[in-house]
Amino acid sequence: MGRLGAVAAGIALGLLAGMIGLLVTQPGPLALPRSLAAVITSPGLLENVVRLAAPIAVAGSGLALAYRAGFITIGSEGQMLLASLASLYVISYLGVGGPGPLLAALSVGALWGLIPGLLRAYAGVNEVLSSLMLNYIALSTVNYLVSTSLREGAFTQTRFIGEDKVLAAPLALGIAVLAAVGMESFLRYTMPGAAMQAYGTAPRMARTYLSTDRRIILQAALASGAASGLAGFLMLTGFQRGFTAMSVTPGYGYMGVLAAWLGLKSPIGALGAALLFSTLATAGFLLQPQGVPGSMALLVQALAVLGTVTLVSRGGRGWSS
Amino acid sequence: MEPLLEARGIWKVYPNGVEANRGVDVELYPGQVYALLGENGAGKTTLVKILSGVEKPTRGMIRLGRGPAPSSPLQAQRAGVYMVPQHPTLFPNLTVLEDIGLALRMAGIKVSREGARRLIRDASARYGLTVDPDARIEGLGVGERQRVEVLKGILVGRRVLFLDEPSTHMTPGEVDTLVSLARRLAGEGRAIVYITHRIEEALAVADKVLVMRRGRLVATLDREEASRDKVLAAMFGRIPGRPKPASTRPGGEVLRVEDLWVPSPHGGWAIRGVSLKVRAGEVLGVAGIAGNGQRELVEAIVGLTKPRRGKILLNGIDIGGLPPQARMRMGLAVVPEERLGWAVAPGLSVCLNTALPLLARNGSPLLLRRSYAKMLAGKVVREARVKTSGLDQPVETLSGGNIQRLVVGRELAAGPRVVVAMNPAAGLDYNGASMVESMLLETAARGAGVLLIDEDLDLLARVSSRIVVLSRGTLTGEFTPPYDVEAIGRAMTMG
Repeated sequence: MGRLGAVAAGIALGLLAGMIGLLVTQPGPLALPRSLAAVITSPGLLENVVRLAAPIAVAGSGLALAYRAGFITIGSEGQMLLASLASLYVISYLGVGGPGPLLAALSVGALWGLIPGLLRAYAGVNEVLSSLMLNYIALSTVNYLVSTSLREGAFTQTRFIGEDKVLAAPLALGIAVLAAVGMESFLRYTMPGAAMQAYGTAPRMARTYLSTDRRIILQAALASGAASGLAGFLMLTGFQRGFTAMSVTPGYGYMGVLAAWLGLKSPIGALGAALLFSTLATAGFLLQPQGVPGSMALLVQALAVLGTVTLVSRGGRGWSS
Repeated sequence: MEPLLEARGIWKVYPNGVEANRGVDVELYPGQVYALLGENGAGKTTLVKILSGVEKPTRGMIRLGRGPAPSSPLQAQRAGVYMVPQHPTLFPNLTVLEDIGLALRMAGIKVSREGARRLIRDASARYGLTVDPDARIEGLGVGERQRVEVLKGILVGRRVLFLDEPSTHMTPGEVDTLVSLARRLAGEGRAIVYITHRIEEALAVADKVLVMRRGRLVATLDREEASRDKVLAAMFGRIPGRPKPASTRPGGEVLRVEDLWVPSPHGGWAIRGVSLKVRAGEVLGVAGIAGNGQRELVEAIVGLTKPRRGKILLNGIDIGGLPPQARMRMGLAVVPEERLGWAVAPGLSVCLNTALPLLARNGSPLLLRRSYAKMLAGKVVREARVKTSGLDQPVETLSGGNIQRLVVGRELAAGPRVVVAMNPAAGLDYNGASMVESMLLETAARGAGVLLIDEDLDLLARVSSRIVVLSRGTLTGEFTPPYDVEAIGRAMTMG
């Protein structure tokens, strides 16, 4: 089975499991394909799909790049939160428009993303752990700011950006496509991109002939952080618009992680996976009024990724000998 | 007498379309040593992997004694069939005892920790393979790891033992010991299959010489009738010529190492005060037994480890503080000991693996022009005569010899001032090794200095302008031609 076959089989597996899950519910297993069809045929719902997909796709593209370099960060969640808050601050508190909010998001995401890179490059700290901790720190920081200096009115919430600042869905999709193509081109047509890929499979080869460990890790950390920053901006201006206090993070950054793996660590693949995920999530919303829990969409996604990664790894083992 | 292992009509076609085995019949009888000879890519390793249950044949029948074919390495091991791999594959973070103990238990040999220790100690005394059961694998050199693998093979492969190019990491003396060991193991009732492409070794070890060419078994010769010429003719269809030794008139100094001290990762010193000079146009050979500081010397010159003390000068410039890649840009070329993972990155194409290290030296630091990369890679592939089905082929699907030709061709194509090569011909067949030799000599003739760190004393004696001996981290002798091989051998054990 080829790698793409593995993806197809993984997705089929996820959908099948979702349908089996629906057996015990009132609408029955066919509700899943029905609601998926409803999503794809409705322009209004498609707009929702695109708005949701854009930040996941952009975060996933950056993560795909980092994963190719063997830098397994899961810090996109926290980076997106802080970046999103930064652009909210620039828009609604400073009143700055134009590229200002975007630049704020990019730089905050990049800086927050750089931290696990620095920790790994200079202290050898495992980035899975450090980026997870940084996600918690980001969540607490956002909650703190939401309930103190950025609090607006009687409830613990911030200002919200105006309807006029909300990004049009086609524009969000355009940005996501540009980002994915940009990352893919970076991997294919630049020396640092090629060095990252070599480092991902053979660190010793890369550090002997191509670059240094530190340079590659920091580049990967910075690039994925900036991508998550952009994703945070798309999240804010696409559908979130403001913050209330949260007990857990919203999970779009983690969905980016899933998209990067389902997309076989390719930025374009991550874009495709993000579109699939947001279609599923939207279909999930449709099913909720029929008594199906909203988490079903996430179940399908997680199973699709798990199935795909398993099949690809198995295939890889067979080919390597 | 019944064969221990019998195979009929073995075909193996890999997913990339390569037909590695094309209808091989073979029978292995107890008490016999079989030398399996053939060029790189002739299908030797594939055949042995199939017979030891690692790979499944596309077609064909295998019988193990009266039983059916093993369908996994584990089943094969339980039946007493074992392959000692060419490059040691041990668990780096286990001790020798733990690694071998694990292998024994996996093979269904139930022993306690102390039982395993006794087995190891007995076998290592009995067969003269000195290993410290409590040494951690990651602290061992390649040669020592190979001994552990052989020991494991002896303990697990009680009926059929495959040795895949076992002499790759060994000195001439060690090879002699191995040859008599193989004969002795066969004498105890096993079938031994000894894979090699060194003809002298094959003739010394074998009762029967099996020759493979392009996936077929083309000759089965009894020892009495096998001669060097006959075997060569079977392997290649023609008898290749020898490379000419260098007539070098050395020029200015291009590499100087001054009082180098490198700590060993497991305590103590790996390199203790080494000083050497390489002049343009010469090949300086560094002889020595594996694990005496060779790897650390290479790593220090390349820039992968920081020496505690001492200087390294390239063309008179102190490069001690520079990262490896900066050293490459200044004219250093490296042919590392390990191919996959150090010399080339698996998963990346032949094209990228060839072009990237060249472009990193003198291309744009930012943009990677695919067409230019293709051109560079195509040139290296042609000139080094690398057999590939295309530049986009993943590099790990090439045979070991082809990868090495690619690496040597690539490094020499960079137009280096200094070449550091470690065991560059190890594991190569006759043609491949000759080619690597002549490529290194040609580079020296064009004015580069070559530092050749090799365990193969014959090779060093053929190509070196001078030979120094590295033993326990210090230089214990310097020799000029004509070489006194015995004196060099003595220096290898001093220090």
